[in-house]
Amino acid sequence: MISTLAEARAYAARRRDLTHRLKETLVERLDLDRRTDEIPDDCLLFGVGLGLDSVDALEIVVAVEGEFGIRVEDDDMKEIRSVNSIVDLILSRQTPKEDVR
Amino acid sequence: MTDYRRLRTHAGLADLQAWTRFELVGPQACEALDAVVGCNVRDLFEGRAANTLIPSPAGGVDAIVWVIALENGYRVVGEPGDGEAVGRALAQSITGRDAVLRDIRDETFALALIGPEAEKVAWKAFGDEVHSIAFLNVMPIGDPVVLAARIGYFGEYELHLFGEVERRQSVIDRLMKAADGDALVVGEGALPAMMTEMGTLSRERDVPPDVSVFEAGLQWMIDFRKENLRSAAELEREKHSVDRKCVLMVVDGQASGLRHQSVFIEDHDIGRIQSAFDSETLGRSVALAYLTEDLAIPGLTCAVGPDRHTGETVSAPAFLGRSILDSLG
Repeated sequence: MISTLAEARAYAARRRDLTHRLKETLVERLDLDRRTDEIPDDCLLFGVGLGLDSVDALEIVVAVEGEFGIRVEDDDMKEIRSVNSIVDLILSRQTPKEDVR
Repeated sequence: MTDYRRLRTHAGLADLQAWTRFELVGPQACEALDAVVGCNVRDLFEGRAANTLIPSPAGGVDAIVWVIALENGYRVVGEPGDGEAVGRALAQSITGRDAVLRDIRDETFALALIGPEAEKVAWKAFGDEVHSIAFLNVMPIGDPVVLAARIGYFGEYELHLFGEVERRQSVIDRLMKAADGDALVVGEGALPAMMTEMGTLSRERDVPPDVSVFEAGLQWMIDFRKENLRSAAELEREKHSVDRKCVLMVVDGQASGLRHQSVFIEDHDIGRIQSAFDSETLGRSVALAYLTEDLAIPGLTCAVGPDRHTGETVSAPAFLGRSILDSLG
């Protein structure tokens, strides 16, 4: 549980880095016509939001597995719904040292 | 069964008569609308809908709307509190253009069939056509014809129905019959909580005038490559001066006591609750809060208000609705 300001700032810094890397990955791999600062952290990926489709979902899985070194199982697909939810998934699979590129 | 529970587990019909509805027609309707809203209307094909906003002159949000492209023009729909801003912006934009704007609230009805069982009810009422209306698509269905739009606020299957106001009751009767006498009609009371659970912002409730598009996290509604983007310079400036960001929270305690309360980590004030509602699904309150930019992230444990209610920042949506889970199998 993160409950002190120092812990929160450390976690926030780590999360911001991951979030930025994820947005860069999505823009590049999905050839999005957006800059990373035009994608909010809670932006939905499918339907409204980025307007992606099921083909893009598979590309996202490949991209996340490749860039962040985690395995995305079928049961995880419901977590692939927003930038933040993917970051949640990555963080849940990584130890603190693993997110350093 | 509460209205909320009906909408989250079954199906309910909400009367959205007071919600904003404008019609824009004429040879330059597209140009007039495109000059006002953030999305690229020129790329919006007939039968499609887009969720977008009207940027304010300061780079904030004047209104959050759905734009619907039809054969003969456009519909602009939104929450009741945005009607004045939408009407004013569109009226200015048609000046000098060959386009006609009409406020059609009084002459049309607006109903929303919502919930995991809503598609089944709609199918019984209107037939197989219902199944061919994908999310973000719009098409006329039934006889007499109503306009059916798959747009969404609440994270469940939603079918928004529009038609001539004289036909409102017959459409309700038809849907009630399709629901096999089940109590289908619900009030609007559950809708704000459902929106907040999904992280869907209401401009009037959740976006104060001094909050920018980027602080609200609504920049996805804007095509920044549009040459005629309204308030483009102000938006570019705001992009680089984000001090706070909107984040979804789940908090212990009654929602009524949380609104506008400060959010703390230890004794440090990191922001303020903007709106809060009791969530029947979570058994806690859901809230939208504006937190200092560097801490506006999910995963933090905070204290809220003088009573220091425990809360957590979470990713939106707070949970997936049953309609979505069912569609995922």
